[in-house]
Amino acid sequence: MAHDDHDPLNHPEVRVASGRAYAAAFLIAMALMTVSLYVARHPAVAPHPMLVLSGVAAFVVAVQLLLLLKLDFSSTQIWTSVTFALAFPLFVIAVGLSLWMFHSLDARTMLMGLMR
Amino acid sequence: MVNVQGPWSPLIGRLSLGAIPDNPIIAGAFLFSAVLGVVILGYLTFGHKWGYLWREWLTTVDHKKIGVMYILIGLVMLFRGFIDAVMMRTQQVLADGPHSPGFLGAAHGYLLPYHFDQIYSAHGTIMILFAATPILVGLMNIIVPLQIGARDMAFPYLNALGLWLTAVGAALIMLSLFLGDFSHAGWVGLTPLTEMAYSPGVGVDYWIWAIQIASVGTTLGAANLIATIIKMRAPGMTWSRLPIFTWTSLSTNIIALTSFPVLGVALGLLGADRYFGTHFFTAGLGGNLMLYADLFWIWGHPEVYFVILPAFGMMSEIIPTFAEKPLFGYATMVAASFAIAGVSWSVWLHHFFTMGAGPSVNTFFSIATMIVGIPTGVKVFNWAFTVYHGRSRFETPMLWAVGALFMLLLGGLTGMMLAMPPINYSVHNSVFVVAHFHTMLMVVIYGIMGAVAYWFPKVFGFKLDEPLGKRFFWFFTAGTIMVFIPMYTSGFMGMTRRLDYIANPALLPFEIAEEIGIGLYVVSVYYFVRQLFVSVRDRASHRVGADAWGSARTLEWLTPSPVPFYNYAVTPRVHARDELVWRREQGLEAATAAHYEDILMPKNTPVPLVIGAFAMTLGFGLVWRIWWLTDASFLGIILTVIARSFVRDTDYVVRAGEVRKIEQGLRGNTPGTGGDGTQGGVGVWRPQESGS
Repeated sequence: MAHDDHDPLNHPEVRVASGRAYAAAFLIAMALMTVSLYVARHPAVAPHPMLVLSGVAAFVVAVQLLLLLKLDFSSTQIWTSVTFALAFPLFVIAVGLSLWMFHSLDARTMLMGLMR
Repeated sequence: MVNVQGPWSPLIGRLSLGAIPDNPIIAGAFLFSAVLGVVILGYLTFGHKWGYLWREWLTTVDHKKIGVMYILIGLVMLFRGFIDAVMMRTQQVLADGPHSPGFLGAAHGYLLPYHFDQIYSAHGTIMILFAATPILVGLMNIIVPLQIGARDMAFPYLNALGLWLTAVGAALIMLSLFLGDFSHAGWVGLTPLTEMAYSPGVGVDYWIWAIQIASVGTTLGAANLIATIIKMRAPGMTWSRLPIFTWTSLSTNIIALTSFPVLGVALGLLGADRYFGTHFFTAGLGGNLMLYADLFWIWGHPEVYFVILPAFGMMSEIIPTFAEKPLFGYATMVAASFAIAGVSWSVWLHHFFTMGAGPSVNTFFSIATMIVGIPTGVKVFNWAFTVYHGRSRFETPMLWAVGALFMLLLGGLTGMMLAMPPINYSVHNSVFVVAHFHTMLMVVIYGIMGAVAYWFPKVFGFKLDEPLGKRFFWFFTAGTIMVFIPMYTSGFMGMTRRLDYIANPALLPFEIAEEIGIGLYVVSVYYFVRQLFVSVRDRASHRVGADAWGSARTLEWLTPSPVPFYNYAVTPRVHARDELVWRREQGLEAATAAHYEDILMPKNTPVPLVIGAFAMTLGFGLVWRIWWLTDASFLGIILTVIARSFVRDTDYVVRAGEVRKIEQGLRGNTPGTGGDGTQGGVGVWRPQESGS
C-alpha cells in the first residue's frame, strides 16, 4: 500500500541503502571473482580447488547478505534476522549436497573425462 | 560475442524473411490470432474503449485488477498449451507403427520431428511457467490482501511491474510461433542440446529470455506477497488466525524467493555459453553439462511445490465452506505446508536418479522425497476429517476440490513409486513419469478451477453458471482419466516420452484412448467458454451479496461483492480464525461502520507498462541479436526506473464522504434490490481520483 510520510533517512536502523556498503560489496565481489577465476584456470595452486571455490562462494554470499541486502542478527528487525538465518541451511543444502552428488558422480561416470 | 550461423546485420541482427515459418499449421494459427486481434482492436477502437483500457487496466496498481490480468494471461496461455497437447496426442495416435500414414511432408503423422520437439517444449514451458504460475500468482494477488484485511499489496507499483514482466515472457513465447522458432530441447532445456553447437537457431534464445524475464517478475511478486502477509495484516489478524490460503501463499512465496534466483543463474550461465562462448555446460572444454541439470532442478523442484502449495490452500478454503464445518487440524495444516516447503529444497536430485550418482546419494534423496508424503498425508486426512460429519454441498468449487483429492492420491502414490531409485531406473524417461507429473499438475488445475469458481463472485459480483460448471468438471475429469490412465499403462509397457514416432504397434489402443480423452477435454473447454459467456450474459440473475456461498468463513467474504477498489471501507478488526463465522454468530455480519475515515490509495501509473515494453524490446533484441536495440532498451529501463524514483506524488486520498457514498451505493446494489445491472456492478471498481 501507499507509503507513509516519514523520511526513511531519519531512521538509520531500518535504512538499507548505503553507497559505501554497495561500493565495498562490489569491490570485494570483484576481487573474489578474480580469485575464483584464477583457481579455476590454475587448479594446481590449491590442494582442493572445489573446496576452495566453495569457500570463496560462501564468502561472496556473506558479503552480499551483509553489505547489499543488509541482513544481520540485530534485534530491531526480527524478519531480517530470520532471513539471514535461513540463508545458512539453504547454502549448505544447495552447495553441499551438489558437491556430494558430483563427488559421487565423478567416481562412477566419465563426466570428468568429458570435461577435459 | 559468438559468431552465429547464417546472415547477420547490425541493423536487424539475425532477422530475415526466412524467419517467417512456411507451415500450413502455423499459418492457420497466425490467421486465427490475426482475426482475433483485429476483432479486439476493432472493438477497442469503435467501442471507444482505449481510454477505459488505459485508465482502468493498463496503468492500474489495484491488486485485484492485476490479479485478474495475471489470470487472463494464464488462461490464454493455458489454451495455447492445450492446443499443443491436442497436436501432440494427434501426432502420436497417427504415427504409431511402421505402416502409419504421413501427411504434410512428415514420414509418419503430420508433424516433422523438429516441429514436434518444439511443440512439447512449448507445452511444458507454457503450462508450468506461463499458465499455472500466473494464474496462481493472480489468485494470491487478489485473495491474500482481502483475507488479511489490507487495502492493497505492500508494494502496488512493484506488483504491476511483476505483471508486465510476466506478460512479456508470455508474449515472447507467442511471438516465437510466428517469427523464428521455439526451443526443441524440452521445457527443462536438456544440455548440451541447448548449446550453440546443437541449437544454432533462435529457438533456445526465445526460451531463455521468455523464462528469464518472466521469472524476474515472479521473484518480485514473491517478495511483495511475503512483505504483504508479514506487514499488512489487519489488527487482530494474528498468525494463529491467518487463513490457510494465506499461510500456503506465504510458504509458497518463500520457496519462490529462494529458488527462482537459481533458475536465473542457470539460464544466465547458459546464456553466457550461447552469447559469449563460455563453457559452463558444454560437452568438453571444461564444461560440466550435468551442472545445468543440477542447477535447473534446484529451482525446478521447489517450483513444483510452488505450484502445488497454493492449490492445497485453495482446497483448504473450499472444503470447509462447502462442508459447513471449520477446517480440521488448522495447526497441523500450517505445519504441513511449511514442512513441504522446507523439504522441497532437498529433493531435487530425484529428477536425475539415473545420472549415475552413488547409492548413498540416491538413497538420501529418495528418503527425503518420501518424507514429503508425511505432511501431504496429514493434509489429506485433515481434509477428509473436515468433510466427516459435515453437511457437504457439492457445488462446482467443491467438486473441483474433491476431484483434486483423488488426483493427489493417484499422483502421490505414483510419486512414492518414482521416489524409489530401483523403480525410477526402470521407468525413467517413460510416459509413466509424464503421467505422474501431469496427475500432480491436475491437482493444481483442479485447485485453480475450484478457486476460480469459488472466488469469482467475490471479484465480479456474480456467480458462474452452476449447471455448465458441473458439465465442465465432469467432461474435464473424464478427459483426465481417459488420457492419463492409458498413459500410465503405456509407460509401464516401456513407451518413452517425447516420441514423434512410436515403433510399437501394440501401443496403438492406448494412443486411441488418449485421443478420445483429449476429445473429452475439448468438450470440457467448450463448456468452460460457454459457462463464462452465459454467466456474463445472465449476470443480473447471478448477482450475490458479500457472502456468495452463504457458508463462507474467512474475512474476504465480509466486504461487498464485487470488492470496491479500497477493499474495506474501514479496516476490519479480526476476532477469530473464522472471522465471518464469528461475526455471524454475534449477529454482526451485516453491521456497517458508524463513521468513515479518509483512505490513502496508490495512484495509477504507466511506468510498469513502460518498463514492460522496454523489457519486451530487450528480449526481442537479445533473441535476434540486435545489439543497438538491446542497449537502447536496457538504457530505457534504467532511465525509467531512475525517473520514477523522483516521483513523490504517488498517492491520493479518498475522502470519508466519498467512501460513505460508495458504501451506500454498494448496499443498494445487493441481489435483493435487483442491483443497477451495469456490468454486474463492476462500476464500483473505478478508482475515484478526483480527491487527489
